[in-house]
Amino acid sequence: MANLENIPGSLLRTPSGKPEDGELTRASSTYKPLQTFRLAKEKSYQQQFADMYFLRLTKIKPAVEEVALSAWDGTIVADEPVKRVERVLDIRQGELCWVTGTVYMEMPLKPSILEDVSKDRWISAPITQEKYWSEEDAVTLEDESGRIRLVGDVLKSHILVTGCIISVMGSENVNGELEVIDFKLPDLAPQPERWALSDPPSGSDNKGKAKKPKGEDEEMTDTATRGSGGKIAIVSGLAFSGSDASHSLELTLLLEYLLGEALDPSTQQELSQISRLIIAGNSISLEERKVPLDEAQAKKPINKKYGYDASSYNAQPSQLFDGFLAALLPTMPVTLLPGAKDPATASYPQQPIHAAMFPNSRPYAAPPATSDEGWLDTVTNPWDGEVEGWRVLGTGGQNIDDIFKYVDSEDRLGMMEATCRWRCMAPTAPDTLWSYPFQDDDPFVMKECPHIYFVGCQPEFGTRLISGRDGQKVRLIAVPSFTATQEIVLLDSETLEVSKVKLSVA
Amino acid sequence: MMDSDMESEIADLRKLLAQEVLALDKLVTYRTLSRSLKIHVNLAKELLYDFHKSQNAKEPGTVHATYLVYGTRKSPDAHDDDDVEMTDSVSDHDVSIFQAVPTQTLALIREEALEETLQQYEEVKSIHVYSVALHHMRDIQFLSDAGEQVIEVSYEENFSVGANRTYGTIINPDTRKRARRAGASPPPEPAKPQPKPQVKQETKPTINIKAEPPKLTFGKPTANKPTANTTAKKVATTSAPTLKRQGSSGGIGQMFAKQASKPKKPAAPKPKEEAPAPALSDEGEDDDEPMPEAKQAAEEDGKSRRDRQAELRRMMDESDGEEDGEESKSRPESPADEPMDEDPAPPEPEAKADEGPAEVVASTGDGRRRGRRRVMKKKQIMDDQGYLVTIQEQGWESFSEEEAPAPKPQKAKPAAAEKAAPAAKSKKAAPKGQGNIMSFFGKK
Repeated sequence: MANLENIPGSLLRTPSGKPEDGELTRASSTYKPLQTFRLAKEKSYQQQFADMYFLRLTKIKPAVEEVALSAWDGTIVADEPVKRVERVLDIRQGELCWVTGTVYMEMPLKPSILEDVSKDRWISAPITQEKYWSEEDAVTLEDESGRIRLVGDVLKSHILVTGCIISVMGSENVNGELEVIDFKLPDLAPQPERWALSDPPSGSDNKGKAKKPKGEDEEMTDTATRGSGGKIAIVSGLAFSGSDASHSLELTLLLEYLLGEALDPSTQQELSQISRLIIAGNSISLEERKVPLDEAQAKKPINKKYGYDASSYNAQPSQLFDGFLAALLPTMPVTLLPGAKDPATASYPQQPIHAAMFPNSRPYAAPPATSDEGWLDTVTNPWDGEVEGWRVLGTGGQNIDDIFKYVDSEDRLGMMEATCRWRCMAPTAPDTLWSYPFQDDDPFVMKECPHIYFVGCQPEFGTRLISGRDGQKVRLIAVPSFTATQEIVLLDSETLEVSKVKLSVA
Repeated sequence: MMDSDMESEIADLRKLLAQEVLALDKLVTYRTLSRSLKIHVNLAKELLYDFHKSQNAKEPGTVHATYLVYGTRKSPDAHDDDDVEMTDSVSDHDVSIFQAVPTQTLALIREEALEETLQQYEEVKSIHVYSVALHHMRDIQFLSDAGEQVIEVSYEENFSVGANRTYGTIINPDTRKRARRAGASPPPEPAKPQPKPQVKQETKPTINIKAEPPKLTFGKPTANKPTANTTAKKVATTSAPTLKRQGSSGGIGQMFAKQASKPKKPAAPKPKEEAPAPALSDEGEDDDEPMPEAKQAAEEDGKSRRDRQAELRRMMDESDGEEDGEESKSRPESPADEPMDEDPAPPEPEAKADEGPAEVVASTGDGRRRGRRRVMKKKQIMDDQGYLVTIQEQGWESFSEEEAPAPKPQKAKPAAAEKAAPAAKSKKAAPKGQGNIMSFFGKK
């Protein structure tokens, strides 16, 4: 219970006329984005998707086999030693063995291109199901040689989706199914050290882990007891809209908050420690871009003057977002990931939103065709990089949303954890998650384990700290959609503790 | 004294605020107030509070306020209206998903709800008046309009850091902004920028204001400083608009050419057709054009000028092959063309002047832009036997290259004058036959 009288930062007072205590300076941000998910400008779509599965299997197999070997080597079940078989096809009936392969989920509700083609449907219908999951789902394991159906209650102990790589132990029964006794996941990938790619800001490097880097630079020293107060703000689903003003006031408040104009001097001092804003997808509302079908057909031949038909395209959402960014950028660097609803490519990995969308913020973006990062960094989705020395992996949420359809669970953090343990952040690509047909590399394989893994556009906030066998620690953050929750996430850049700020308008 | 200064200043501000709210019946937020009075936001917040208090002391209920409250709310188990949502979501799902996370709530509330809201908070860190207005606010979302106004003001101020300092926005010394390079615009193609490219370049700048001035100047300078100056000087006063018009006048000119003087047309358009490739890319690809490249191009400019001239020469030779005849025809016309052009588009005599001499001086047919860079100029003279003779004059080159602006017109004019004599003659010869290219051929 709070009283008006005892609020420390109350500006409910007569103007004192005292000049302000000096201007606030924002904490600096150490930032090194990676280009893991950038596609070449010239993309070929001629190749088959099968290569992705092959690449994934060859890349992850050694890791999971290592885990399996250490767990099962010499294991004797019912007087029978477990034997390793190389290929799915080599499994003999009644023989206890273990094998590694790619999981494939047979789900009656899952859209299937083969079915479409066989029924002469050539246009992929919009996906209507919330979930593909049903009771009739069957888990199968496959590799280049063949496929075998997996049965056993143990499978239910962990979520499995198409595309993840596991090792299973069991024996084939008379039905030709593998009775699974145990299975292993590759588990977390090796984790790089902090500051692996970028240099810690001067002054803190002699402190090793840099608990309290004092005075990042000359200007810092007077304003800041920076300490562990540095924060990274993450938000998603801003959904700027031209017609739906239901949360526009919250957006205004968010801007004021990040600019450090709202609240009192001591809180503003705290706000100045937010060194970067990461926008994890869905910044622009989609609804304006939908053109009613008949209408679209009715007026086809309209003069296209500036590349789009002004009568059916509403540029206002992006203009609003541009204004937001342009106001924010002078005081704070921004990393912008596209999301499912943003004007970027549709398939994973989504390529950066072109800065030309934002004429006013654009001067802050990196000049095209240069490798340095911009103050406004429009990046891919998924995106990885190093922020304040921590390896960060972030997505706009499609990977988790797609996994969500496969499983009978609402546990988004559990799915995020699973992707880390599978070492594959988007296993369902290219099956149900649209993806670029990679040929030489599957970038969705997590070669390195991030310190921070955030997923945007989730229905609600959540965070969890998971750890791996080799002492890896990953901070998982499910970033809620701002439209739905009006929440933003603040991540402490030293302790990786997470807090959130809720904006409310009554 | 200091205090009394401050006092009087604040008194002034109070008056202004009172005027805004009471007389003009405006909704004033601390941000709009700070923008309109150019004061720090925190002072604006205090002013609003002060105003609200004093007005309502005079006459209760006249001014309505909203407050911004920041702090920690009570945990969900204290059943408050606003927390119902949260409790629900917890019960819905696996509780383990939720790790208790410190949550600050930033709430914007009406004054009526202030007390009640404060009850819901465990700790309030900060509070201030967000807005005052004469009327009860039906929909609090109206406040977002005020936010938009502020953004508009920021647009006008160009989001300048100086302004941010005044208002108390957090300053970031690291902010990087790319100088909106003149780069993208002309570098490579300055080689032979024809009217067309220019038109194009202009269209772009209008989109991006910042880009405009450098670009515009750049378009010419890259070519060579002298000309740049010429244009710069001439354009100086009119700057963008002029150029734009110039561009469009080009359009008019073209129209003219089409209708009135077909012969002229071929000469001008040909080079244009050659230019388009770069010109187009310039327009469309600006985004992708790497800045360094642009710079490089600019640097190289000097070096490659020679090459380009050579190239130009070649190009001209090519076009000459086809056009010589026509060109020679067109040449005489150009003097006539000048006045003609001027008539339709009188507004930009400057640009015209710019164009004029070039046309006259330089092989006319191609207009000034080419003249800029052109190495070789062609002149047509009617010899004593009445034949039109085309001579290539090397002399113009240095002039269009290094000549400072002033000289150019001067020289140009004289040149024009000199020529005017022959040209005039040719003009006389030409006028009748010149309307149409066919007539030219027919004549011969």
